Amino acid sequence: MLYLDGIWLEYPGDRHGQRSAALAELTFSVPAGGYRWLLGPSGAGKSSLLRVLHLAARPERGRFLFLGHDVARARRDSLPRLRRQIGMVYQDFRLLPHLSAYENVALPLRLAGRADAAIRSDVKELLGWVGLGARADAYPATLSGGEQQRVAIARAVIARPRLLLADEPTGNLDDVQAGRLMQLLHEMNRQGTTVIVATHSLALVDRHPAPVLQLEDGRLVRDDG
Amino acid sequence: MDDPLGLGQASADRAVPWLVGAMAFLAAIAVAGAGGVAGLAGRWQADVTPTVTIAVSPEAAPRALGRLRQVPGLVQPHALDPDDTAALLRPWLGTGSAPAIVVIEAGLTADAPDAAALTRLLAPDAPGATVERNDAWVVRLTQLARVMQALAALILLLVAGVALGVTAIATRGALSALRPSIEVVHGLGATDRFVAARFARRAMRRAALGGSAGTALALPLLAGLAWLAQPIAPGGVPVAVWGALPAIPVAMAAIGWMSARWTVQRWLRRLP
Repeated sequence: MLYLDGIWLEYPGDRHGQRSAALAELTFSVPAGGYRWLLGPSGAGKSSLLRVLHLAARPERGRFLFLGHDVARARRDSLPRLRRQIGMVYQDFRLLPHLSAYENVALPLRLAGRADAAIRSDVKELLGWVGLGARADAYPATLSGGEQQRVAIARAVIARPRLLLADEPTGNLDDVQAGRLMQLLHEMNRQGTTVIVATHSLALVDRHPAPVLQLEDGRLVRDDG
Repeated sequence: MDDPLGLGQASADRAVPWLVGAMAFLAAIAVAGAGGVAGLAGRWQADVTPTVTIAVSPEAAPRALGRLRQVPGLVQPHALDPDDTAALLRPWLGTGSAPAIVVIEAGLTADAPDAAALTRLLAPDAPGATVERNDAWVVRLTQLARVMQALAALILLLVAGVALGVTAIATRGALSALRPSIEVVHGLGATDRFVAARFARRAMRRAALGGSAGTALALPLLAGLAWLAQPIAPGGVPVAVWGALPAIPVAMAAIGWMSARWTVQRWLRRLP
């Protein structure tokens, strides 16, 4: 599923043109259907690694194979198709403010060219599952932080991605909702989706044990895989 | 969901219909002006059979006629009957005196030499010959029509360039304002074509709206100008010009579509 070999990613240069490494010599792999916790202190490179895995940043050096494609060498116009195989839950949700909860969740299916009838039933079912069935027409600005996070999660999983990435997905959820989210992630993982979750919460890792990828200063210091 | 990017909320392109409308107004006037003058020149050209009259001394007349018959572009050069010449000159010479010149007349084809060239040609055989083309003013009007058409083409190019630039600048403004939404949609797997098509469709609609309004506003002005020109151009603005005017909003819409599409596709290359 995922194979990274000697990946380097640099921050954009400062005003003196000096560039520093966000990720250095990262080498690891995750098999299809694998589950990994991504751990590390703030600034360790977790978000940078998620950006690389989400094909939102191309590494300067190294090889990154995703679903058999060499991402570093792939043509730019072949990447959207690969991105549709990835679900991403951002720490800051990144919901589109001009779209209702329903339309936000439906967007990945529309981009994939799914028919309206199929979209309607899938989106309603998933919104009901995350407890937002009654708020389908609400706009993000009228939703609480927890509700927005649930919409973001629904948007990430609606197209049944092959890889699901999540950046602190339980940060704004109460214990009940966090438990339901972990149940959803495990269910998707059980059905074959590869899941990588970045978190600061060691309690969450203790409650749901799984192999760990740990970063420090952009370097991989632990790989249980 | 026609607007996943939130283009309807962007204010950067609010001025596009107004500016494109102004350009369409100018384009309509340029097209009508050039078409009107060209039509007028064509009509006058059709009304006049081009001829040349050459006045020479009676002694030089045979040699001049012989020379003129060899000049390409002159049709049947012939000396006017002395009575006809006398009748022609009566207003100046009165009835008593016989004319001391022979007037030669010839028809002209398109490749005929101009008056100065004919004068030079006749100089060895008939020095002092006076050459006068009756279509000189039509030729000047035709040249004026050509100049007007060239000017109109220049104005149209300028108008197209401004419309292209206005749409591109507005699109860049909207891209900056909507960057967060575009990045999210890009991350969800939208292709460049998908994003560019949304911008292009909106730019096309707004340019078509401005183009239609600008052209429509020019119509009363053109009708008024055609009415004022009635004494010299009884036919008014040629039908072809009225037929060409609807092409202006269509062209504006096409320019808006292309400009937005190119701008967005170039901008999106900065995303991975």
